Amino acid sequence: MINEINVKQAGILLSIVMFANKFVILPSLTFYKAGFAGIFVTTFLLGLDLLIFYLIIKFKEKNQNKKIDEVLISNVGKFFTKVVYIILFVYFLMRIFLLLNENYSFLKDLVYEDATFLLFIVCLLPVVNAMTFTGIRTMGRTAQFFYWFIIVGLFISLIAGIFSSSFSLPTIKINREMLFAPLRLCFWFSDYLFFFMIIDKIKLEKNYGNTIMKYLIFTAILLVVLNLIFVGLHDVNTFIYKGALADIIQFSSISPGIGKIDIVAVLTKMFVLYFQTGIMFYCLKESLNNIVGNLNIYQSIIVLDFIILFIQYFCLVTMEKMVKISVTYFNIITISFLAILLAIFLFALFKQKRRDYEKIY
Amino acid sequence: MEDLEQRIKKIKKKLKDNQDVISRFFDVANTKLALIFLKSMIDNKLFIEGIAAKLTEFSKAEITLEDLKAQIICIEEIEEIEENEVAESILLGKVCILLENNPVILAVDIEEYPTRVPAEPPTSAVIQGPREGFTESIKTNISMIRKRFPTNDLKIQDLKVGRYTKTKIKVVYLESIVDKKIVKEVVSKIKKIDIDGVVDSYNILEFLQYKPNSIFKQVGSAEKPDIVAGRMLEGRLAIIVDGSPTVLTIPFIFLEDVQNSNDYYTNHHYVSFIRIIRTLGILTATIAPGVFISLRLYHYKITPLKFLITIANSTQGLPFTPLIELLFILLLFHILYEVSLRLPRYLGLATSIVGALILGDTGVKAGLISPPGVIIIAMSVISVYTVPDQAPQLTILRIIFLLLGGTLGILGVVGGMIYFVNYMNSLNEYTAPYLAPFSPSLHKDFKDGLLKSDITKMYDRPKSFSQKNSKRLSNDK
Amino acid sequence: MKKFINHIIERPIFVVFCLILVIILPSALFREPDSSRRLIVTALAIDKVDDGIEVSALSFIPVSSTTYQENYKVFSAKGNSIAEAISKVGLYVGKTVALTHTAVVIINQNLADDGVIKNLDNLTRNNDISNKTALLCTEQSAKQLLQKLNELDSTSDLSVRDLVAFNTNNIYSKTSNIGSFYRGYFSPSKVSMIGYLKLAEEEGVLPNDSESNSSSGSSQKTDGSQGASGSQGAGGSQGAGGSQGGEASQSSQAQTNSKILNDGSACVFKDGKFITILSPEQLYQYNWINSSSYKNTFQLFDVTDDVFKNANLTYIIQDKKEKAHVTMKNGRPVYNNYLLLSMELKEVEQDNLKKNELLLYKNYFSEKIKILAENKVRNDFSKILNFSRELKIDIFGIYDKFDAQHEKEFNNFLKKIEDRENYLNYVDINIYVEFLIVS
Repeated sequence: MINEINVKQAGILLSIVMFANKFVILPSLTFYKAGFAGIFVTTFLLGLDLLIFYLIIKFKEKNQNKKIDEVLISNVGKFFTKVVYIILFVYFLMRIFLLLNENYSFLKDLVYEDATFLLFIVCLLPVVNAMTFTGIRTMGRTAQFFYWFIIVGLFISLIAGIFSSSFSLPTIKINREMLFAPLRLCFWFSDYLFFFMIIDKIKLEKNYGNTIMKYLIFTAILLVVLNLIFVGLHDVNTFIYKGALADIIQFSSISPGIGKIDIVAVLTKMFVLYFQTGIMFYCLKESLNNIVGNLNIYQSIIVLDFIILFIQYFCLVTMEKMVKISVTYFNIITISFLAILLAIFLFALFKQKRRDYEKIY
Repeated sequence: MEDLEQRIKKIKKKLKDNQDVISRFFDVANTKLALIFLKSMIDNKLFIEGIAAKLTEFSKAEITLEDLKAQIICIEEIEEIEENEVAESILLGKVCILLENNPVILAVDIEEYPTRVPAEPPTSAVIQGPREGFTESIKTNISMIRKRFPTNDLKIQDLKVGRYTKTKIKVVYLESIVDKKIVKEVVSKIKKIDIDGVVDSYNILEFLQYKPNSIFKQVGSAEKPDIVAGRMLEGRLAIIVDGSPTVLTIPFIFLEDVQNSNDYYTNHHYVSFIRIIRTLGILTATIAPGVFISLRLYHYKITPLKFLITIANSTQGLPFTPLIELLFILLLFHILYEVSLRLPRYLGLATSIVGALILGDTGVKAGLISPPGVIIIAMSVISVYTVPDQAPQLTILRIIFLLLGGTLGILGVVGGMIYFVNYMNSLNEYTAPYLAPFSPSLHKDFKDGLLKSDITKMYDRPKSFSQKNSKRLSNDK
Repeated sequence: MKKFINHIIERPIFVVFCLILVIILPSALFREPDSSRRLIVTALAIDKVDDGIEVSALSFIPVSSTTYQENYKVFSAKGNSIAEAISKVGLYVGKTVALTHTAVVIINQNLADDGVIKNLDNLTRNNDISNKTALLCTEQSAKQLLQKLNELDSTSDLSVRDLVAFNTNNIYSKTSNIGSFYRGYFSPSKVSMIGYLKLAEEEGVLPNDSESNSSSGSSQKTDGSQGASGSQGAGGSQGAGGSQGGEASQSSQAQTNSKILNDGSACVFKDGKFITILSPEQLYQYNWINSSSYKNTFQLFDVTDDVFKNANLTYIIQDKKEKAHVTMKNGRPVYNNYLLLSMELKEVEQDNLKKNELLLYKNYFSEKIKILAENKVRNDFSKILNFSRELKIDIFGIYDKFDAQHEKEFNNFLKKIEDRENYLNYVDINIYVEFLIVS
């Protein structure tokens, strides 16, 4: 069965994954680390992501008939390719834990009072497993179906925030912390790594790069606007509010007439959560297959579920722990991995050019 | 060669000496003729005037088979058959004519059986537009389709299914539009059906589905010829089953059931509005009870205070817990629904009074059920009929979402929605994505999607399924 | 067995769904709704008492009814901290306290004197209670005020939520909630402002600060109403209180004399500690440079010019454009505020008003009137400025503005002055006002 997605679906999946981990704690964490200059930090990191996305697209354009793992094997050998996939596996796993714990904490505060993590997992994992089981084509179509609802929910939340009586455009103040903040927060970004796992599944057409970049730029703009509105709304209090999207809509002046409209932000977050977890889980499955060899779909899903549950309960993972580790250790892994990948691709590019040169002469 | 009487005896024995098998002997032009037929299956008038009278009036010296075919019996279809095919032909309502010393037998098709007059089907009522509906007679149904396509492009393939019923099935399509691969696939699937009998089109529907266990229908159905004609023009094929007023159409996409034949005979702006209402109806029918129960059980935090007060006050003192209460009301509604389907008309009024009293008034006053619960379930049950073709599916989904909302809260309801949409997207029957044109997004098909534009702008056939010749409307002005 | 396993493999999600139902459904079937397992608190009152903190919770109690009916009760408990007191309330009632729907938190002045931040830490740390919850201060017992508010709710259509919303929009023109309190606390100026309610002791008798409540006081009149007035059977409806401020009577208990007095005062806190109460007049003066406040009236007395003679003119401000401009000049901060007021003439009090004066001079604004108006604005502003300087409270947020735009220079300036807290005295503050008459 052909398991391919079209370019629009790829753009949508990447757009959703770019939203991942950025709706909950990140805006307040950015403010905590960099103050009012946090907007610059977010813009910089998103810009860097977009640049790397663009480089990957250009690389693929030059190697259209080759898969990413083939490129890696031909340049660094099988062993180092496996090492790369092991690091990717760990990266995706940690991103999933961060996503799950952030959202669990957020949903517990706002929506479910006495829910346990088990209930949360019971809601999430079967659906995510079903999405992975049916393949990326189906996941892409489902994401395409719900994407505009998510964007509308996001717009409603942002507009509600702008129409709040306490909203005013924040005054951006440059400070020293903003130089170090990107190094601390890069783990929340670096979504181009997901692109690696799905780029070979895209049915390439003319100008596919432009289409994908349009979706990504649109997402990046929305995220910058979200941060701007969030800081404008809460000003110096920004670091207190750990559920960005819902906290924007909570202070809206539309609320008194209708009643609580938190439900818009909550539903948007829930829909986005399923797709984000689904895409991450899919990438996890793909990297596992590249490490271990071609596992049966049932085997990969069961193994991954087991790993997630085991680590969650054995290591007693919480949101606070994940945030701490992400800011101190995972950011280092992310930066080093980025450096390694860039090195590999530059090497591959150099090798390609040398081959072309040798062919001519 | 055996004589005529012995041949007739043999045939009657094959037909297990059934009492309604009649045989008549004629002496025409010094040649013995025997007619054998099933009295209950033939058109008596045609038999007397078209065959019997003609035979008795025959005045020539000799009679041959050619004479019979060309001059004497000038009605209906005449076929030459062999001895071993006689029994089947008689059972199919044909009159078999045996000539003495002639092994060839003629079978004259003058079958007639009671059939309805084409009437408007109850679930496809329209305010404006054609009102005729299919009947159980395959002949009538074919003629209604033929009337709409007086073109040699209309192709009909004849098939027979059922060891006992030998039901006639016709696969009808427009040759220059439909994808031949789909036709091939459908025909081969039907040919592979080895079943004892087919009494309705639904009996073969499940053989045509890729996933027969699925709750979602994967084959379209229609009871009106104008709907079938419209679908054929879009690139689908139709399957007509003898004895069934429901014609199947393939490929099927979910949007078909949201569309209604009335949509094509009314102002398109109004239709766009109504289609949005139908979509809201689908959502209300499936997820409203689930969302309501999840808000009541788990999510007081996101419920506005005034709603909370109203619901808390109206449910204070009930003996049932919220989930049990809603399941109980749902059960009552379904019992009432089943009863109203089967109860004689003159008792229907009593049922509606009893139902309204039990559910609407007495139950609430007795403190067994609450008004919000009754409203939510009633709204959900009624909303199912905004899209009646999906009624069974929406009913099952409603129960599933109610249980999901009651056990897992709103996250469960959202997860359920995503799961089912994902599942529907995995259905790719006969190359047609189930949720086309929404996913994958096919912009040109949005002209007749949730919103409808006027027909002067629909230049192409829907891209949701493969077809040849996609040009529909010339845009020369 | 093999068939069974194959059956499961073909339908994994169905099997998972059945498992979930089997495990969780029994408990879900017998689960009571949230509203009956929790005590829904709609208002909270916090008092400082001798032996700690007393928390009173105005809670909704469901009553079996098919019509809309709100039934509230006040439950109180004492504890060493707010968290302890709230958990005790839950203990006494036998339900978990749910603060999500709390619309207002009332603290008494004693608690405020002691330091709001350390006492209200629970309210911010608690994820239940939103930072959008209104925060009010009261002079007397917050519990008593809560009980009076409950009576107001149950005897009339008025509610504390409407009261707070009205005040926010029309009187302070500033949000008065937990979030805004913390916003002020964490800002460079460290000044926060919240609403202030009183309980008046006798029927029809106002507190002694009658100046702030005089009928001629233009500072009190807002757009046709002041405060809220509600009493069963009284002619006063919201806004009809006129110059006397708002009253809420308990006609069912006509013999008791305490009433809620919402005269439009506000409390000022600095660094989380209570400093002073701004009277309605002072609030009116402050609102000149509050960009969210513009539906104010503007009265000029004894105006004599070519058209009018000894007339009292009342204008309504339809729109206000306010822009603050901060600069550093020779190391000294300069704060200039530019106001553009769009006004409409609403009333002329003059004996022997002629036809012309009524019809032709509908939007009359001569040079003389302009000068009078400018002087009035400047005088009002200087009064409140002096008051702020005296108490060293930067209610205008001047420090915030300098910190945003000239952080380094302003910090250098602060290092140079003797008393850092007294920086307002060294800032050159000016107000420039333009008028635009609209019809």
